[in-house]
Amino acid sequence: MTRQPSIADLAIGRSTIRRRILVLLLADPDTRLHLRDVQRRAGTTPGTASRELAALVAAGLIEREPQGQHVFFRASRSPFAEMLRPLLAADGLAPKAPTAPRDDTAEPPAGTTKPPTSPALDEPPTDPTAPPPVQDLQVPAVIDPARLAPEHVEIAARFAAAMRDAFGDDLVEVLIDRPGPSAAAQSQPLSFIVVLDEAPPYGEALERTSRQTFGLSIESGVVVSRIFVGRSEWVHREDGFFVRARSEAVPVE
Amino acid sequence: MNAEHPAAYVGRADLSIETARAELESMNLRVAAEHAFEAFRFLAQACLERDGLSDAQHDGVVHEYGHRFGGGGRLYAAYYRWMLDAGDLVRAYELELRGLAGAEGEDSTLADTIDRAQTFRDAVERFLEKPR
Repeated sequence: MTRQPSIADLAIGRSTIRRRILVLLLADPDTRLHLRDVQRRAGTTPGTASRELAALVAAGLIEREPQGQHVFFRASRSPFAEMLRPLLAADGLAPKAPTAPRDDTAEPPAGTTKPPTSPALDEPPTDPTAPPPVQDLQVPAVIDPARLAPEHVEIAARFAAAMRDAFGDDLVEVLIDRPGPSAAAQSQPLSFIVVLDEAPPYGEALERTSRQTFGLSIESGVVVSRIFVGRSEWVHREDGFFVRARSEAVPVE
Repeated sequence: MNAEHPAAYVGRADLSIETARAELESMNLRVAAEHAFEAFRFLAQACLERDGLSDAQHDGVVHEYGHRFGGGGRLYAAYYRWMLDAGDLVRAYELELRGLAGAEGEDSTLADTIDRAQTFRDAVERFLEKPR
């Protein structure tokens, strides 16, 4: 649902990250935070946090305090910052709990192409929540093998299991869009439609299923693609894609 | 895409990233997402060109990159994961899915996607500088 713009929006723009950083720092004028703290609490990447902080410093809303080798940020005492504080409070905004720390954007050391940590990112996924090996899966009876290439049946079963793990009771249905009987066009993505009870915050849904989708793409050699749709939207939308997909997509789960 | 020097694709990616940032600043989120994913594809093409695969078809760039580089070893495996996510984000915008429309935080998702494209871009530049 789109929130109506407020005076704070007009003053600082509608960037979610910018607002979170301002709330973090303006809520308590005595707060001093390191870049890493700001990045973690705002739930964003170091690059975005750094960029937004630079803009806010340039605008005179926050101040930069070098201390030895470290740099801290705090609210400015400027009249504009003082004026903005109650406007942000009037919006009822509070620092949101960040999503899981985004530590996978850390660049590998210069001169290498391998990451310094997180070996799982360069190895086949070994996440314990990953779906079990395909030979242990009961392939759902709803998959009609006549409508899918044999290798797609296996991928579909594993993908459905991964979605079940990711969304639990919120999962309504998983379908393959335009499966086709032939696997000849291997460069074409295998596209899944994930129907959930309610349309999720999309970035969160992508992040929650990112590693499983990636792992399946690597292991199968097929680009696995997915979209997330709320139940009501899946049932009721009457524009081209939905009308076609409802008639052609093959249920997996 | 016609065959080009790999560095030219990196240049195209730079422009795409710059455009994506500008569109994000203007809150044109769909256009920003498209340019961010375009950057990923240009960078994938640069890597394929370095491997002498200049005849990869447009739709096959992501698939071929995943086949050659996606599992890690020569390039960080996460870059392929980010590429897949960026492509799926564009698809969601193309379909105008309601999970996107005005959702709080979608601009941060896009900001992260653009940051990831930048990180990938820098890695590809280093990769291209390595001797074959």
